[in-house]
Amino acid sequence: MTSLLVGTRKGLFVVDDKQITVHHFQGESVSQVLIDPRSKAWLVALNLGHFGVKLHKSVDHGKTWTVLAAPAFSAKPVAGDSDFDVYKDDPTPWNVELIWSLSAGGADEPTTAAKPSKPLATACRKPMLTTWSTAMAWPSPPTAKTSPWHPPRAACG
Amino acid sequence: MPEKAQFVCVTFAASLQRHIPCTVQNVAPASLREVLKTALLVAPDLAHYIFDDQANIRKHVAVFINRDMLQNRADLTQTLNEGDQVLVVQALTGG
Repeated sequence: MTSLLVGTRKGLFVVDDKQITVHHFQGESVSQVLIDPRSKAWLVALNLGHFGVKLHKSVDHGKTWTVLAAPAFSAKPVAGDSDFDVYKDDPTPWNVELIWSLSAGGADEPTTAAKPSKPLATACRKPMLTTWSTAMAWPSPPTAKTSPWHPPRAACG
Repeated sequence: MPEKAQFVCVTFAASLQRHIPCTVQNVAPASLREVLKTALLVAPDLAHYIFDDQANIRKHVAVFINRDMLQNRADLTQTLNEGDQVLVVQALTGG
């Protein structure tokens, strides 16, 4: 059966046959959802506001959830850091504030998911590991300004 | 006179325990960072709710030490002593 996952500021709704059948993460803001086309696993990104971004995964259509290590920026560069010294005085908070997109890795990368976050960054995650690695980060991108409204996000699978 | 507690008592507010349960922890005196780190050993997933990516206290989380609120979220070096009470709460704002 194909389910429609709808992420909202009030949680994740599962729609089957045009009916809401389950409501997960009640009252929490779901910033993005993904059904991995390879494994059919559900990935849900939450924005808990005071407590940061969180990432949950289900491999049984929401019956059980596993908390994944949320993506995080590495330590902010300091003077003398030859590779990223230019960012040492950057005023942008060096924290992941929102996961606004999730996408699966390629068919040849069965354990990889990639996501851009805010501040704009692309991170790759191999679920077999416990951490994300930030591949690229641009601390002050024009896309960092988000829309004041919060449209629902949906995925089918 | 009651005997002074030998430990630092760390309490996490209900707003945090709603996500990850963690009972009151009595840990050996040390720096604030070490005390929190030790207290969170029983609930390691809770650490990400309290610390940001840079291992500072999150902007909207408040830490009180004997009723005094921690002012510098990045400096957790202050030494805590036996009998000190640490309270970690959600910093509510707005009206």
